[in-house]
Amino acid sequence: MNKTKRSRFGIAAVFLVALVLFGVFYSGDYVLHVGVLVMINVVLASSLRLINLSGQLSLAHGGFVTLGAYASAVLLTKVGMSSTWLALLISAVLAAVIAVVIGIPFTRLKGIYFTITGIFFVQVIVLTVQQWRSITGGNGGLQGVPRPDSILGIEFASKTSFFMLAIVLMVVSLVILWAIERSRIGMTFLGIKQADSLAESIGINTTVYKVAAFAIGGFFAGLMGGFYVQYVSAVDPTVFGFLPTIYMLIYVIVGGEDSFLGPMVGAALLTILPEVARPLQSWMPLLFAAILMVIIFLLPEGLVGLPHRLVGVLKKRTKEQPDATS
Amino acid sequence: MLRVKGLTKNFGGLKAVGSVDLSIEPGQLVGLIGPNGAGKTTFFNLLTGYLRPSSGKVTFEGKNVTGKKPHYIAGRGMVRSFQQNAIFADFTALENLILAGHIHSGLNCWQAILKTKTCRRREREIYEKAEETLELVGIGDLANAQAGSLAHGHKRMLGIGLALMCEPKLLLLDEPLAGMNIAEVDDTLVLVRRLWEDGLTILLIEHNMRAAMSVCERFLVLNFGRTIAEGTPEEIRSNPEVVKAYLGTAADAA
Amino acid sequence: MGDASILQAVLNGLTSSGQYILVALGLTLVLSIMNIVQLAHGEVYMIGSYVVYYFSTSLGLNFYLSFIIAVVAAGVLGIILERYFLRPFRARPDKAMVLTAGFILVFQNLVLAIATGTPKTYKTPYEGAVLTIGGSALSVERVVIIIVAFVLIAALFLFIRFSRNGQAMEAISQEREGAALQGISVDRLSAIAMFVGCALAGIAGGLVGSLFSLLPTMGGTVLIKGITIIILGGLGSIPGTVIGGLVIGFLDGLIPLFTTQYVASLIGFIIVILILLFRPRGLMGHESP
Repeated sequence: MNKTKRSRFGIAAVFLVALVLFGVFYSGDYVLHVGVLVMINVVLASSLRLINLSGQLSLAHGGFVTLGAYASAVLLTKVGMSSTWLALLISAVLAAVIAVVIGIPFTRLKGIYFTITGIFFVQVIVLTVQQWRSITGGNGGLQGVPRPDSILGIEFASKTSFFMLAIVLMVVSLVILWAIERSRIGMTFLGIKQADSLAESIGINTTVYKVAAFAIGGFFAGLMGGFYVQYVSAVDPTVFGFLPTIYMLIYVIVGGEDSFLGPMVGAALLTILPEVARPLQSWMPLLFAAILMVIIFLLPEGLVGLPHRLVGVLKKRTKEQPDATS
Repeated sequence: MLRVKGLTKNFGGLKAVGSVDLSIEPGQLVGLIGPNGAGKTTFFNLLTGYLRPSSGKVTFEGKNVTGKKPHYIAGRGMVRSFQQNAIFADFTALENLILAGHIHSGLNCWQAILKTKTCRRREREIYEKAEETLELVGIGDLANAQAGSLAHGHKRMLGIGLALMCEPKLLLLDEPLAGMNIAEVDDTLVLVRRLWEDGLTILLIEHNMRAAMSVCERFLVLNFGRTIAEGTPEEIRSNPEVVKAYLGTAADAA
Repeated sequence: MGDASILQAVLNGLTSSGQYILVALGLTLVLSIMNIVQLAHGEVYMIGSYVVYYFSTSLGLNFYLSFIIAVVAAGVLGIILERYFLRPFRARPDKAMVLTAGFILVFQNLVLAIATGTPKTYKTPYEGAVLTIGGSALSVERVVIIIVAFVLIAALFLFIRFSRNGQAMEAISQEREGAALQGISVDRLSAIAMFVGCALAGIAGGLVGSLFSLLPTMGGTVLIKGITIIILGGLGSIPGTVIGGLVIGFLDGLIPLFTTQYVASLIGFIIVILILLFRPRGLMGHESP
């Protein structure tokens, strides 16, 4: 393992340890709650980015989260499934399966046309959920979703326990996403993104790869939906609808869509911002849009590119000094 | 090796390719020529799965590949290069070839993600092959250059390299000399001749008549989507139909 | 169900169609000239309604004047968006579309902050008036919408066919690079497309706002209907958009008589899937996506 890889793993490990220690020793419910939300959004943004890697801008993500959330909720409250972990798994798998089903026709579409079908998908899911009152509780949603079953003697009642569970889910998800990205599969996604037809000519079945990216993204979206619902014990139709889908996209772009770290930075920052700037809560959509536009216009590589930019600016400054005096 | 019968493509009322036949035996170097707009690239697109034929049949090594998807046809050994968008611009030259090397790697996705021993060994092999191919096409020293920033001639060579990584049985080159200077043209012709002498079957679209005449052993001449002549360089050169077709356009005939 | 109900149903269908076609035309214009789906198009429609509400109800201005203000405001908004936000990203339609998603947030948030989320209503001067045809009473409001919509459709058609700018727009929508080479100013035509497109959305919003109550979120469904129509009718085709709009409008108007609004939306979605699978260029489109 070369030096950059080792230092990267080192930093990640340190960060992880810090996160775990924080969860163990800090007991302020509010901050822990925000932490859980951050971690959920990190996975949502990172999984959305994986789909982007294959050159597809997806606006369907919220639909898969909703699917996963309702799958868990319905299985645990209406169907009476006893294992919450099984329900969680089914949520993720169901989302992935639906992603394959709609992905096969939709990934044939290029660019913006694929994107707008995502909008339809989210709307259909939300409408279906609102309509199917007997199963989904309609607009009121479902309540009383049980907390996750205890595992290894650990009860999931306190915020701390959920914080730790979130850490586990997030780390597992990120490790899988990272492994995929740095494998030849990730390289293939990038190739398809750059030159779809060319990729076909070297033997890459672009449809299979695009659907796979969509399904993997959908899997983690569904997983987070299921987790969320078991965390807050309730779900309603719009909690992961069109607007939240746009937010997920904003997390990715503001953080930096060309970097694995980008979505994490974007998700963390933009989840914490509304909590920190409480008085501005009602202006959040506008603020998010403004941040998005600033990034797109001034810092297209996202926030992760900021250090590099600053270094570049500093370098230029120090270069100009000698000339200024002559 | 390749049998094309009655290949036709209609776009609305326009017959872009009209009932073209072609047979290529293993080891041949065939040139596909004709004035601009004669349908040569359309023909390529039909052969390699980028366009659906309106009618006709394409058989490669005994298997019917008419209308199949491009990745399938490439997998069977009929591999093409492109005139434009011929390379992955954001990858390095080496990465370009590494990606192309996976077509026959036989790895499944689990092995790839988990980076098993088999996977690592195979990827090592692909890496070495990519380096060799870069040398072969003459850009070995540009391995780590970003493909998008390469000079035009080098990009086209890289494009050929991509096709070569796929272990083609039949190599289809789409105007490999377009936009190249004299030195590059010579280098490319040397490469083509060398590949052919090593046993590769090649079908070449080329606009540069003199160059095509110097390497190809056989020609198929198209005009307005139809075959107007077929034969050896001498036969083509003296064919009045061919001469008429080219005189009618501003081509750089020899 | 008697003749009266059928006439009523047809009227409702035509009203919906008229409204949807106006919105969809705006979408398809922008799509064919600028190669993006302006995702905040529904929000421009919504702004049209709210501007009429504000001037006519809060300020007490004459309805017709308020309406004109709303349309002009929508058109000017379109020009501003094109010039400062979309033009710099002409070569990156994906980035431009993300920006339009940002517009959604901006417009919804602003309207929510200024007007609050309580549903608003406003009246037209001819509210309640009815036209009696063959024994059934047709609401004048609905008739006005239908007439205005189809007059505008005809006007747009003539504009594209016979004016220099219109013909240039047709040229660009068919063949972007070739048209640009012929010296056609893509800048100017993009501005016109956004102006006209947003104005049409504003007109639809202003007219239809009197029929329903206004919410800052009312733009969402309208966008989806618009996209359904342009996919069905064929991207970049005005006659296609009209036909698509008629189909979807009548579906929306008639289906709820038999089942629910949800089924109408679901059918719309299924239509989109089927079209994209089997006839991607729609009924009368130039090219497939």
